Order: sequence, then C-alpha cells, then structure tokens
Amino acid sequence: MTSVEERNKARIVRFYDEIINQGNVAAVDELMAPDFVHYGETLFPRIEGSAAIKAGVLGVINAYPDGRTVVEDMVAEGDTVVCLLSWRGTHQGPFMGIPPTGKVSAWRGISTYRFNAEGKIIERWANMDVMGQLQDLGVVPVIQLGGGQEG
Amino acid sequence: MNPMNVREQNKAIVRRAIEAGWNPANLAVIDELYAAGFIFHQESGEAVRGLDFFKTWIATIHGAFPDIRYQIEAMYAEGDKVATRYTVRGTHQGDFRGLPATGRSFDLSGHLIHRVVDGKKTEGWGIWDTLGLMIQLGVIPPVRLGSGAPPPDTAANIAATRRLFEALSSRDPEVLPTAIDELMIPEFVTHGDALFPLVYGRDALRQAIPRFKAAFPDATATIQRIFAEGHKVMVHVQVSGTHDGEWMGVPTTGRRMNWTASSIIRFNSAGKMAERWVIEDEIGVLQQLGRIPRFQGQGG
Repeated sequence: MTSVEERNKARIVRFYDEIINQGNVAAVDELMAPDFVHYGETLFPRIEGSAAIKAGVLGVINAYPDGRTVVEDMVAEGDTVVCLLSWRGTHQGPFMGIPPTGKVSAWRGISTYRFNAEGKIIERWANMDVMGQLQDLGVVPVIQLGGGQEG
Repeated sequence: MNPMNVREQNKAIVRRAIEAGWNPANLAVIDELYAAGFIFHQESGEAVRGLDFFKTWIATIHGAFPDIRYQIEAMYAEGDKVATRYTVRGTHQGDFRGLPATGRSFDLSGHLIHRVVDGKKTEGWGIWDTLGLMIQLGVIPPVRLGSGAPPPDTAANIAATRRLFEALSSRDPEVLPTAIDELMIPEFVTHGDALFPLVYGRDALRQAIPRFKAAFPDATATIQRIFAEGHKVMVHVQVSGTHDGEWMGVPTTGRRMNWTASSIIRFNSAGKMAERWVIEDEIGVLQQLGRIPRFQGQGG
C-alpha cells in the first residue's frame, strides 16, 4: 500500500461522509476536479463537471434527508480506488418528479474512482442497483424473473 | 511472494475465470478457479454459498444469450481483493429467466470484486446495470428522468466558439492563449486530419500557436457558418493571412493565402470545450505555398 493509495482511500471516505452524507458541497471543490466526468449506466449515463455533482447531491439530500451511504470495502491500486457501497434512505421530498412516498429504499453499488496528479477525483465509473428504488418510486414496473446470479 | 506479484497473479485468475470460464461456458475452468465454498454476495446483499447457483447462472445466460461476451475494461488489486470493471454484450436468442427470446441485443456495464486466496476465488460481489438490461430487452419502457446535468446552453456554446476564432484573429499574443485557457478543459483533445492528426491537451495546443503566428502574423479566421445541436457546435471558417515565416517546410513567400476549415466542437455540461474534430484544406495550403502542384482539371 503506497502513501498515494492510502491518501486516495481516505479521500473516498471523506467524499462519502462529508459530501454525500452530510451535504457539505463546499468540499466538492477540495476533493473533485472541476472537469470531473461520471460514466454511469442507464439512469445517469454521463455527468460532466463538479458543479453538476453539487446540484445532484443537494437534490438527493432534499429527497432523502436521512439517506446514508456506507463504504463497505475499498480496493486501491495506483491512482484508482474501487469501492463497494450500500445506501439506505427514506423518500421524504420530491425526487425526479415523484412526490414523497415515505418509502424506505436501499441499494448496493460498486464504483471506480480515478484521481488526478493533484489528488482530486477526475473520473468515476459507477454501477448502482437502483431497480428496487425505482420500483419503490413507481418509475419502473415490478418484474419478477426466475432466479440466478452472476458470480 | 511480494505484494506486487500477488496482485498480478490474483488479477490473472479473475481474468481467466471471465475469459476462459464465463465467456465460453467452460465449467471445468470454473471448478479449477473457484473454491468449493465460494460465497457470492448478490445485488440485494443476500449471500449464496457454493458453485451450483453460479453454474446454473452460466447455463442461463448462455441459453438466453449464446453470443454473450464479458469484456474486461480495467482491473485493480489490493491485498487479496481484485476489482474488475467490465462491459458485457449479447443477443437475446433464448429464454431468459422466463422471458422468451426477443432478438434484441444489449450492451451494459458492470463491476465485480473478488477475494482470491491461494489461487482460487473464495468470495465475490457484483453490481451491473440490470435496469439497462430490462430496458434494452424491451421488458420495461425507457426511463426518462430529469437528470442532474443541466441541458446544453447552445447560445453560450456558440458565443464561446465565436470568441475562440476572434481570439485567433487577434494580433495581441496574449489573447489566444488566454481564450484557450478560459474556454477549454485541460484534457481538450483535437482530432485532426493527415497533417495534424491528434493533439492531446490544452497546453499542447497553446504551445503550437507561436509557430502559426510566426508564419501568418496577420492571420484572421472569419466564421461563415455556425450552428449548434446538443452539446456540439459546428463551425466553418475562412482563414486568411500573409505567409511571412516558415510553414510546412516552405520559407517566407509573402503570398496572401486563403483556406477553409470545418470543426465540430463538443462542450461539456459546464460549457467548456472538451473535444474538437477538424478538417482543414491542407491541399489548398500546400498548393498556395507552392509545395505541391495544382492538379489537371482542378476547380477554383
């Protein structure tokens, strides 16, 4: 474990504790490069710029004031940290056009974060299992398929 | 064994499991690389133990998507863990968990984390874009949600493009470098043509300016067509200038030169230029410099 890998992991913990959980968007400028790019999946395929992240964080906190992300595990190598995440929150404010439902939703995710030479987050590739949350919100119909899972 | 070797060996095991086990549905490779007590933590967080469920999964996906291919995009390792970022593609040609073949294909992203102990996978965690799978197979309609990203400001992007070409025409040596710094992201990429194929980064572009300005000190770029769609601006310019310094190996000719260039400029959602595709009339430039002859039957 190099000192850069340790530093990057500490910054991921701060990113989730201070920005995502506490909504301290001022820390975005400290931890993320302004030209940060998020490569997501179907729901949010691409988000560019740390300003868009600030807006997104405040939007989620308004909708899920008790929402908390837990960093369950991290794998760091070189300029990159991959983290296993779990999230849980109660829908208490409008979210993506859906009025509050009071439902508790949860998801797990794995995201890859790359840091630039200044030690700021410059890129993220994210996968989050948000099907259940979207079904809770009524955005996506509930589909029951037979079992099975990748390994 | 030193930790670097462990990292690389563990990555090789996960890579072999995907490429020689999952993709060709080779269960012998699965038996070789997975511990018998393998634990998989499903997306729900619920854990399953043993290899039977996983072998069933391999049979399910190959029955439903016979051409399924996982492609490893990146791997990172630390301690006994290996993280894998992948994309997966396939065509729905057979029953998938009760869903009859649709003939549709999918292209998705996913992540895996594995624990590897003594050359075998003992534990795994996986998240992939199941929402995307359901949408691409047509099981559920596309989700249209207000995304966090603001819509493109096409008027502002056109104004920024105009500013760039006005700066190119300025005689003040500070104006163009300042405009480049203010308008472009540091990682700005220029996709050019045969003579100037690729330029990576805003700095490299800025460093190329003095040579051009030395060759054409009075150069001006006049926008003839400009329009925007989404995050992109299309601009066609007429460049004019007096050849007053070495250019493309040709010493000063004193000729008044004219040529055209077309660019597509991609802006990010913060309104900064991120990328540019440009085609310039290099043949016209070389002919006006006397570097190559005019062709028989050439117009103009």
